[in-house]
Amino acid sequence: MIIDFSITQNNHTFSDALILADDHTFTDEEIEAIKQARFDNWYAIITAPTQELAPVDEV
Amino acid sequence: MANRYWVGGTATWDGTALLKWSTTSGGIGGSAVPTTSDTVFFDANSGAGTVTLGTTGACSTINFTGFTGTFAWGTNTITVAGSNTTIYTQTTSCTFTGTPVLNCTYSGSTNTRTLSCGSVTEANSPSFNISAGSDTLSIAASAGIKNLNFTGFSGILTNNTRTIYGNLTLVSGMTLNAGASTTTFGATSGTQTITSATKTIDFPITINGVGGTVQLVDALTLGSSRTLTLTNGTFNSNAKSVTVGAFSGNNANTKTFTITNSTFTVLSGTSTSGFLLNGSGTTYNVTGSNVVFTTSTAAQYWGGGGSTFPQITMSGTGQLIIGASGSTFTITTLSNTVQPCTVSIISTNTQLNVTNFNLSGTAGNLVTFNSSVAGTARTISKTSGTVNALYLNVQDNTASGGAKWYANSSNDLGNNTGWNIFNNSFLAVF
Repeated sequence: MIIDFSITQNNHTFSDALILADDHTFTDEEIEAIKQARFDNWYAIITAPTQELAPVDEV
Repeated sequence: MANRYWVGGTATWDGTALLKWSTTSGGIGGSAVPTTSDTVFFDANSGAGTVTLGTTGACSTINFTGFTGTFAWGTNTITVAGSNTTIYTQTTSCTFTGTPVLNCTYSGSTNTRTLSCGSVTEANSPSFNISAGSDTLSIAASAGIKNLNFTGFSGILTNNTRTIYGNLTLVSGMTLNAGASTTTFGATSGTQTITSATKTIDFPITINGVGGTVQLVDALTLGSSRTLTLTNGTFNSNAKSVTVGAFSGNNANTKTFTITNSTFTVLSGTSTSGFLLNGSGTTYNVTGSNVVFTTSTAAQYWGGGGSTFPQITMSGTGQLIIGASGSTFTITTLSNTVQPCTVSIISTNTQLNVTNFNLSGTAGNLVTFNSSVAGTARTISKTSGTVNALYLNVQDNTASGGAKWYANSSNDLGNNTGWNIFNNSFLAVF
């Protein structure tokens, strides 16, 4: 089972998918919490201070 | 544990031993069919015939070094139960047919399992299901692999160069070691998928399969210093968010970039890197998408001549340098979410066309809109309507098209044409 979702906050939109077993036992509240946790983790990444970019391998 | 060398020539690996297996290379057959306790060899003394896998094979480890025959997998699989050693070895001398799948079932937590696949071709690349274990999995450099599925694994995957010709399926409970070695997706047909399962992939990814497509199952996040490179083939975000240190697609190869209804975030960059998508062979499928730059230093957007991008957003406090090859390029909506910041046009003879110019600062946090070369004006064009920007520092810019250009509560820093810049709080409404 794949649950696509998007969350928008502060002009930042995050689109992701949860991949769950067809017989999963998560409640709706737990699924919403998972979605929010994924958004929060992503939001922390995109708002973290910039790091220097490493050299890129030649292709 | 015992050694089992194939000496059966052209025959079927099944439940009957006959004279197919020996305890020594090229030795006398008659040994038992290997079990998950045994080390299996197909080597130069196994002949050049065809070995057909007629059942689910079992071994502790398996080694195809020197084998010059054909291994016909059909739809059967081999269970590889070993640990703490190289559990799979393959060289380019042998040929695979069918669908090679190895189920690596060690469930312990100690030491390192190694897969040594060699630089095998797409046709000869095997699939691995790492279905258990919390140990470390090392894939030797330059390995060619079909599908790599970690469902059930909770250990560490080390970083190394590898080419995946199938799907990569990560799981949230595993650990990905960071590193600068690139994982390349190289299939030349069909669709490969990447399932990230919340993992930040802290190594570079390159898509380089002529005729192949790489499609996301869920959101993709690379480390902030890692680059996603599109060399050949198609990248399809499948409407999921993509977050990378930088994106590199600036080449003449045939490639398609599909990020319909996606947010594509660029975390890092320099004045010459960030998001580069250009070249005569480039197809843009970017409807409804937004490329967001979060740099606090500098990053570049570089597009193709004549290309159209729906939205570019500056969400960092640094400098976004935008440009393209050719005579014109279009960004439907150019905006910012952070102030102060700088947006600069780099292209020497290229006109930036916009439909919505939404750059604005706030009191005390002005947005600088200028040229990347001080003293040399660049051109922005909007065909109709009125731009009412606020709190800008405008410099070295030629505003053109049929639109009326107003910057209120803003500063005219010189060398501007076509702008109406008011250094007060008056908001012009026309």
